[in-house]
Amino acid sequence: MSLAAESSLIDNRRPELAGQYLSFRLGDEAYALPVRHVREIIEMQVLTPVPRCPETVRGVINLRGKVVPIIDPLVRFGGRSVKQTDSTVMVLVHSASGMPVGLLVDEVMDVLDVDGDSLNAPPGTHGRERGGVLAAVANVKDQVVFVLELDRLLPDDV
Amino acid sequence: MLFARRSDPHIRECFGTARGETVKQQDGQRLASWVDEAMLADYAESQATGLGDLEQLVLHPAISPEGRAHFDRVLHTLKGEATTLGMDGLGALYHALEDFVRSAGDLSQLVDIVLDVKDHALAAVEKFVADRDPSARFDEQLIWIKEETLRLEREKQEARAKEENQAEAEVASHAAASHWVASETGSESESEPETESHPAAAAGTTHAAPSRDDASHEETSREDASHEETSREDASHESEPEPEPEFESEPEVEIEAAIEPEAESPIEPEVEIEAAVEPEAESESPNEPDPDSARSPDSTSSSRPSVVPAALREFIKIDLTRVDNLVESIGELVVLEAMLDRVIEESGADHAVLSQLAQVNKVVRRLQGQGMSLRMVPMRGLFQKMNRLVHDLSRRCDKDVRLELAGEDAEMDRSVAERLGEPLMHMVRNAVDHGIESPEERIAAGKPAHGTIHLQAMHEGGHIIIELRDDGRGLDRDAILARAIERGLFGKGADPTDAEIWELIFHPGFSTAAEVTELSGRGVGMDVVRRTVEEIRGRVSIHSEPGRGTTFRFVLPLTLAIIDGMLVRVGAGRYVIPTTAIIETVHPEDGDIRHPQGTGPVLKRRGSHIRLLSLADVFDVDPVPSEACPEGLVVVLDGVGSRFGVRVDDVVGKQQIVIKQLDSTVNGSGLFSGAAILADGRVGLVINPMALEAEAPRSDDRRARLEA
Repeated sequence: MSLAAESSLIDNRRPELAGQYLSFRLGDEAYALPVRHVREIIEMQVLTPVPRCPETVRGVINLRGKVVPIIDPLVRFGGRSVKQTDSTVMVLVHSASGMPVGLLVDEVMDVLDVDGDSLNAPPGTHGRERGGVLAAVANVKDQVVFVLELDRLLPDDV
Repeated sequence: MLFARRSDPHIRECFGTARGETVKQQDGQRLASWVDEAMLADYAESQATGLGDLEQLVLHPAISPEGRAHFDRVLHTLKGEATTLGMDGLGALYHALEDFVRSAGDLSQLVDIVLDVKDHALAAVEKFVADRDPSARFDEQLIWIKEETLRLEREKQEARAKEENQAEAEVASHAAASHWVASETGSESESEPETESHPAAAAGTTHAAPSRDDASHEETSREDASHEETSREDASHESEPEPEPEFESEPEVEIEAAIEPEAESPIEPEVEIEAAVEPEAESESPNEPDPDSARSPDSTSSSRPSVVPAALREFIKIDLTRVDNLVESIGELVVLEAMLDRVIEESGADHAVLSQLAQVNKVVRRLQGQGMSLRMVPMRGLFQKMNRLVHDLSRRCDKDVRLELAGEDAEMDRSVAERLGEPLMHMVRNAVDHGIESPEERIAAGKPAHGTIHLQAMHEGGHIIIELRDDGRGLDRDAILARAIERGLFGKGADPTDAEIWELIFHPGFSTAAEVTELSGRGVGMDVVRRTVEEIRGRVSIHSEPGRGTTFRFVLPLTLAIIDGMLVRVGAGRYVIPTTAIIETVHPEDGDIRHPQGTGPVLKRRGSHIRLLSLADVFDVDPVPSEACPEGLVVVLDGVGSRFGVRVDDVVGKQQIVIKQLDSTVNGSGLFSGAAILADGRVGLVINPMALEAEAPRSDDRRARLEA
């Protein structure tokens, strides 16, 4: 067992993740991403599906002349896909390569100030359940918010 | 960025003084502290450009007086830059070259030395930029150049001694002046080594004034210029200055012709002097030791083709990403504007709004065109590389090959030009290596001993055409066919068309076999040429006549960013097929589509069968037949090795589209070469025909035809 894992048994807090988060709803649960990763939030648009691309990619959209892939986080978690409703929006984030990528979410909720004390490493079960894309679990205003690790959420190369 | 740097006093000192000799490096071999990364990059680029210019000038078939002046100027700047940055060794090399140039009769005498200097200097500059060590030395080159300089000096001295016997001393000054005129007439200057374009050096070569006894005679001749002025009257008999037997043209005659008007003042129509000779240049050039100032006012007015004029235009250097960003923003603007157009039209806006919108539309289109033009580069750079290649290759192969260039000013997208470099070099190499015969063979065949390769670029419609033509032996049809039958590409007794035969040299593996190289006279890697050309959405075709040569014709898009596409519908999705890949669209009738055993479906087309792919199958979607054609349509595509048909539900129309990059994760299958924003603002995926071709097991048309 590694040193990091050992210490996480003793102290589960992740104070280094403190900061501003954008929270959004996926299914019945609340998720969040650091605000600095978020580029913009846009209304639902007509998606162009791409034949024979990974399942997590729902398609591409035209963002003012740029072709932007749209990811379905629920599919990435290993579940069914996001159902489109009136509140469905796309959260555009900066990928590691600088290209914008969109996330399909059921609803945007809030911008949260999360302090270090309320951030904990995800329990093992959660980490595995969601395809290993959780960075932490936060307790904000008595609500559980799953903090996503953007790099792991996006498919490779995006 | 560049300007900001140049306003720095140190840097102005460095680059601003083109004649940089006066700027002395204090600490010899160490890199000065004020030299930063950006300056090094600037320096490296400037050296590379300058050396490239020198190379072109000595290789260029028609060296003009402007070219000569330009050469001196460039060399001087190179020297200045090198010494300023502390590369004293390199500076000395350039200096020696300058001396040599002054002694040399004309630029064509310099070819070997300049090419050698270029290669070594470039390598040294690259090394310097990498390790910041300016201490590169060029002893070997220096010795060679100095020896050559001495040799030339000796020859000149001998010639001068001979002259003194022949003519009076004053006569020589006239020779200098008349040489200047002779070279003014342009084309003959290349074939006459003694015809001078550099007035000072000209005086140096032919002068016989008794007062001259030191080594730096060209300096003296400058001082003597005024003396020459006054004493030129009676010089018309000075018509045979050092004839050099190894040059095939008749220097006497031409120099005589050049001298006539000089002696009798008015230009006589029967002599070879053209109207392009500027009288004031004649009269003042012998006076003018600095060729720059003598030539620059006139150089652009010359009607003769020259390497220089392009250099007289002003340029700024811009970071390529800035251009790309600008072009991208313009692209966004175009799309937004088109969508705004739709929205406003649908909302039924009044006339005033619509007419304003039309104005905006016009400006946006113009902006788009201008944005695209920012990325356009002339073919010149690419073509000039071929000059050197042909020069080196013809020497290595012991052949006399001349390269004729045309249309160097035709422009194409930088990215296309970059991709084209490799295949073009390959083809030129093939043409010299295999296409052009040895001089003996050529003479035996009744052709001139020297082979000619003609490389030409021209615009045609929305494309750029590049033609590479050689007058060599042509492709060996029988040998290629025999080889094809041997490999089972054709049945015995098959009678394919010429085009089908030539097509075979692009066949992967076909041309790589050594024995085929000998048989067909075409070397390795033609399939790579073909593939690269297809990747940039171009086409290449061949025309060859036995004994008369081969012509390769490339049809290339002006830009990679914009293509003509056919919009097809498959299921609910719309896709773009580049029209360059499309041969035709077929409405299949009953019985046209067959399902032979063992292969996929085939389409009967003009007596033969071609492989048929269903895009709905490839994309794994359900076809949605249209009412008009429930059977769907077949688009026949031209692939790398074969033709094949793709079945689509409908053809929606044609559209010029701007290709957007598609993320590699999204496009893991490689089926698409990009995406496009369609007229309604939605995304359409652009199909990559080559990936489609690779989709299904190959049952290519030849086999299908054999079975049919």
